[in-house]
Amino acid sequence: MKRECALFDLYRDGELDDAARERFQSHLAGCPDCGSRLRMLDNLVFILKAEKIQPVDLASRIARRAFERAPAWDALIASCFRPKPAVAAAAAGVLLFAFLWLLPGNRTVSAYTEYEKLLNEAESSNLAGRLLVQNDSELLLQLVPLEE
Amino acid sequence: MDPSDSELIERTLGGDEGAFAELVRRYQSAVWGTVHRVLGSSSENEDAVQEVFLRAFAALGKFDRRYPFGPWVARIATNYCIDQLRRKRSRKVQLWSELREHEQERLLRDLSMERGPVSAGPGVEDSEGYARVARALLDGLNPKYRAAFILREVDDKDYGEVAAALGTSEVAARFRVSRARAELQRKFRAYLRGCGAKERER
Repeated sequence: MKRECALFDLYRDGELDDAARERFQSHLAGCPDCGSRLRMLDNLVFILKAEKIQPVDLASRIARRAFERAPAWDALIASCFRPKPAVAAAAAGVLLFAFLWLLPGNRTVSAYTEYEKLLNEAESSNLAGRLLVQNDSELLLQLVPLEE
Repeated sequence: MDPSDSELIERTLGGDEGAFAELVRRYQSAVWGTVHRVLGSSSENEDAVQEVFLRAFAALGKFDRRYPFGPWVARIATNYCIDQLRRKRSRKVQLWSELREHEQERLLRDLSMERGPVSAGPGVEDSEGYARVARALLDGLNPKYRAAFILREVDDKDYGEVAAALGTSEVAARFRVSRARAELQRKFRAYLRGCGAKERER
């Protein structure tokens, strides 16, 4: 492929400036690849454009089908879900909070919080605490005297 | 004054069947055009147009009315056509071989001519026959390339519009159109070689 052939699409799309277009046109005269591609496309597009489309008015039938398939209450539900940012954000917030609160992991977090309090108390009583996992799930706080 | 698209959508969502019918009436020609050009002429086109609007109806609640309705429904139509082409591809690629020999030769001759069917003007006789053979050349193109080619070359859309209809970037739209042109050329040459071989055999 010649270097000029790479400009075929830009030429076809009318995106070359005047000078480049003229250069490409001289290239076209001597390049069988680009010349035949251009002719083939011109003729093919002409044929496709000449095709007669005879649309049938389907509007009433389609609307009837749409409402049969999805009755009025469905449209009503759809309307409820139309963008209402404030309501959507509030609902999402409530759902997220409920979800996180119900997560088992969260109870663990709150359990840790309790242990943290105990640890702080232990430290103030000159004791160090260690958290141990027992039976894979139970947490045990072991208190030992702080070393001097 | 005619209600705006946005008003019709609002009324449709409120349960007004007539409003949706009016919306379909406004855009059905465009959808017919897309379906016909991308899928080809078929008795199934009515079903395709109906399905496009039923899909639009089902998604209407999610449509952002700050944007125009036309390009949105065009995108649904294009995606639907690409899906259909993917499903029917194995059957469609057979079309070329199903053509009668003289039809194949005629198409190839006309497409190669300096002044092929173009010289006959818009009133070209037997345009249906031409279209049938021309479509055979399009069949077998990757559906995405084919849809991009039709939108750009036949519907005269700019690349921004092609990208919007395909739900892709402008760069990707350009790439697909370019690939389609190159692929058509490759297929065209292969067919020409095939016909040349047949003539030599005679």
